[in-house]
Amino acid sequence: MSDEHRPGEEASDVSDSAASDGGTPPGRFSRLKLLKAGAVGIAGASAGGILAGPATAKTKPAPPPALLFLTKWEFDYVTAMAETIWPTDDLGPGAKVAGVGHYIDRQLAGGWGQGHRFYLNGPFLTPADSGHGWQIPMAPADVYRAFLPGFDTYVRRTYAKPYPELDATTQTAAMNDLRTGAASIPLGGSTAFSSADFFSLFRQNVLEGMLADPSYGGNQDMVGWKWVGFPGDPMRRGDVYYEYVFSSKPYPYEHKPLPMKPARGGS
Amino acid sequence: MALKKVDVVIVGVGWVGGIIASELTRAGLHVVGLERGRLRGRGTADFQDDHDELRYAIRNELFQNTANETWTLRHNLGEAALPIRQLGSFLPGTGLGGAGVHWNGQTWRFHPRDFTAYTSTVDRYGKSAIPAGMQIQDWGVTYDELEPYYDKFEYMAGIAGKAGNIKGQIIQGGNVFEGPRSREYPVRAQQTTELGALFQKAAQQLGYHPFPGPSANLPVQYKNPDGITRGQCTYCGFCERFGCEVGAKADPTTTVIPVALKTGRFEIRGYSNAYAIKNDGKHGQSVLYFDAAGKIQEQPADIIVMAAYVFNNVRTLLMSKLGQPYDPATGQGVVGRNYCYQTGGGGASGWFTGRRFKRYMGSGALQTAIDDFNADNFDHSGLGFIGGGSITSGSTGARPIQSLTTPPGTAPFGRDWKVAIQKYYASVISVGFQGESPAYQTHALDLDPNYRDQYGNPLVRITFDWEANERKMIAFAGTKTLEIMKAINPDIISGGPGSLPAHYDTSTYQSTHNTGGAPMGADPGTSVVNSYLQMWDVPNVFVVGACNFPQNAGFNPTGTVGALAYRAAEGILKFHKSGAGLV
Amino acid sequence: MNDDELEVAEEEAVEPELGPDDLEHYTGEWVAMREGRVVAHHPGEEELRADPRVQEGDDIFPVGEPPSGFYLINV
Repeated sequence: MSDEHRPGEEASDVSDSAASDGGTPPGRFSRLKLLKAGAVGIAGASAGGILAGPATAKTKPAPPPALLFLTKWEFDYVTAMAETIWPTDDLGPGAKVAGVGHYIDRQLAGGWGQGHRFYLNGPFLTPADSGHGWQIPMAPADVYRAFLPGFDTYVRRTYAKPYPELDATTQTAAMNDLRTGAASIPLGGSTAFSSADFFSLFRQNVLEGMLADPSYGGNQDMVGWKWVGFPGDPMRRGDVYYEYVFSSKPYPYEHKPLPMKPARGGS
Repeated sequence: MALKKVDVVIVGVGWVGGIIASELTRAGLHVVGLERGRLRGRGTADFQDDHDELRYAIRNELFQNTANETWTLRHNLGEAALPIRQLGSFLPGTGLGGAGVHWNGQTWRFHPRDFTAYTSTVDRYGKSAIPAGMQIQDWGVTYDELEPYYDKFEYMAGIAGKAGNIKGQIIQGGNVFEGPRSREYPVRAQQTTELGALFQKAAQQLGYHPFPGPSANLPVQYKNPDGITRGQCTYCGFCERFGCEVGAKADPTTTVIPVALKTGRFEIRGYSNAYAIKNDGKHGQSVLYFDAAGKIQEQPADIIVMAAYVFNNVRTLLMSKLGQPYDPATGQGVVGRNYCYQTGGGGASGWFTGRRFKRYMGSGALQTAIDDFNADNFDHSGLGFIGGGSITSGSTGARPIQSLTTPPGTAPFGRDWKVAIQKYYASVISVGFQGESPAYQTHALDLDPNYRDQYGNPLVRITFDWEANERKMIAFAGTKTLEIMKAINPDIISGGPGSLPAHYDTSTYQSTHNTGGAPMGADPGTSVVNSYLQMWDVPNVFVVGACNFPQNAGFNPTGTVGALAYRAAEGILKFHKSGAGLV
Repeated sequence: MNDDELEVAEEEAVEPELGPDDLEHYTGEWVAMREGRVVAHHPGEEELRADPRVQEGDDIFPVGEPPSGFYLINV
């Protein structure tokens, strides 16, 4: 099971690495010192997500963040489906613990979900062949909102209960129906957006929710990064990758990830 | 009312615009650069905390916003073109520095044969080797003529590499197939990572000729001929799609643009979206553009340079009715002809059980390559296709959301998949193939009849698909990458004859190596510009970039784009004195 | 919406048809093509090459699944 996050742990990790570095290797640019100075000034904890605030040994766990787009029904559905993709089990935390439901909620409420970078002008034609990608007049938020009830209808008809109430094995079967297109859920014409397309979109969002920086609401306590062994923001410990990248020396912080700093630089 | 006339107006301030501006302003000319995107937020200081895979690599922050302007795609002339409604297959840049801010930094020279692809192929294999409908052309310039400009770009950018051929002398350890260089690279080659070393050893065992991939990410501090010093790479693994926070990645905003600005003769206007060149058919008079308020402005100039990437270079010419538009049905005309891409596929993957690599460390061009199966470096007799590609393997950075490659047969989700990604995230090795993309009569760029951009102007329509030649090339490439993977000998291997899908797919990223549409050449009947990238019909208009490639080679294009930009700058200065056609 | 309007909407919903030589029909298989026509197709390369309808000079290649997921090769 992953390390408990304790206050002050990050600061000591960074100052250890700063202290252990013997100095600037020959030929390296002097910016190394600037980066280390920045990294030592830790500004706040990472766990709990942006809305929940830092968790400390003394306070109660923060209340879950408000939903910004999904309804409670949709949130429960999405969380249950996300758990099928990346389950919470004896091996480790999964989508529910990591906050994937909140991640997806915030993404759907935000620019991407609302289609701000999608070209949604008509005419909308049925593609003659494969390879044309997204061809429906809907943004991802619309797709989720339209698709979930359709999927729910399919699941109730096929498996007698709504998805969140099914056991894990049956949920897996229902998810596979989605993935293979066996669950025929109408959304536009059959080539315009199939259940398999929704599965791809959803699985992608779950991966993001498990592995994006925790400030987006998922990957809480960096459980996703700890699971695969990704150290997070490489520069939080200063410029040290150089010492490892060309050798077989293991990187000691591989399973001790650090997220991005809260405040960005800029010009 | 028109603005005050200047010597030169350049549309687009990326690598091409930046290089040309630096050369022209240094020579005393006054230049205005029109950049459609933002100017601020694009520098080293702005990328201090940009190790955010979601924001930059997935939500595409630094790239063109397709909501405002996109392209349509049809696979053939019989199909209705549909819009590319979200970024996928390719990721064009926007804003100051363009794609030069977020590229990987893989910097190559094309082979001598690439510049005479048509003549060389016919000489060696006969005309029948070129399938019906394929339209490869010679460039109208040779590798030897372009060599000094390649050198100039490499020294400005600080390309790190090992020469394989200096003035005809072959040097083992470099690319022994490359064209002759006048001198060594300006910066020593990148070292090799564990993953790169596995590939290198396997390639050597098989009798191939591995060498370090040439890198625009500095392995050591470097001061270029312009006096600009940049620091070395941190190997943070957040290279392609991200800006470089330490300036190690060669970027127009850290190299050529500051040089131009320092002269005091370069004015850059952001949020300036050019759409047409006002002209009388023989002479370009001014550039029309939408300013930040959406109002149309007119910028007159003695010389006009299009440096706005493939699509908008061609679109602007078509909107301006400059040059003869190309008709893919007949093969007549020039503006829009020979659109090409990059043929990717036929790679092999391997998984080690119980051996971990630091895949999340790396740099955009940190890889080992072999050139043995590129261009015409191998005998194609009996293979049924022409062309080839570069084969590479290395450590370009493996950010978790996009790098969870699991062995074949792994469940697509659930507990077993969860176990597999933990087991294998750190243990993948891949060998990739990047192939040539030949030109075809029916592949082209033109103006879409149905779909418009945010200003009401027509989108560019792309007609493109994979043809039999590329399919056979990729099948062959797969057998070679598999052979190498077997020599690497990981515990699990996935590979074999490579395949391309039934139709070119715009939704999944493949490459941002779009080329052609304004090809260069010696024959005005089949090219838009001459060997100085000057329009045949309109001598004060220069059209520069990957749009000039008559077909795409088996290497990343930026090195060649940089060389062409320096060549164009020289041509512009000559024209500025002579006022005449240069060829 | 009255019945007439519904009828029109249904007619317009006809999907475009792919020609018989469109590679889409052969996704996941090997094909042999000659002059734009598919002359034979089989699940495997060897079987295809052994097919008597396949002549020397035919274009022989596999047709892959549409790419899904993320690119593996950073170029």
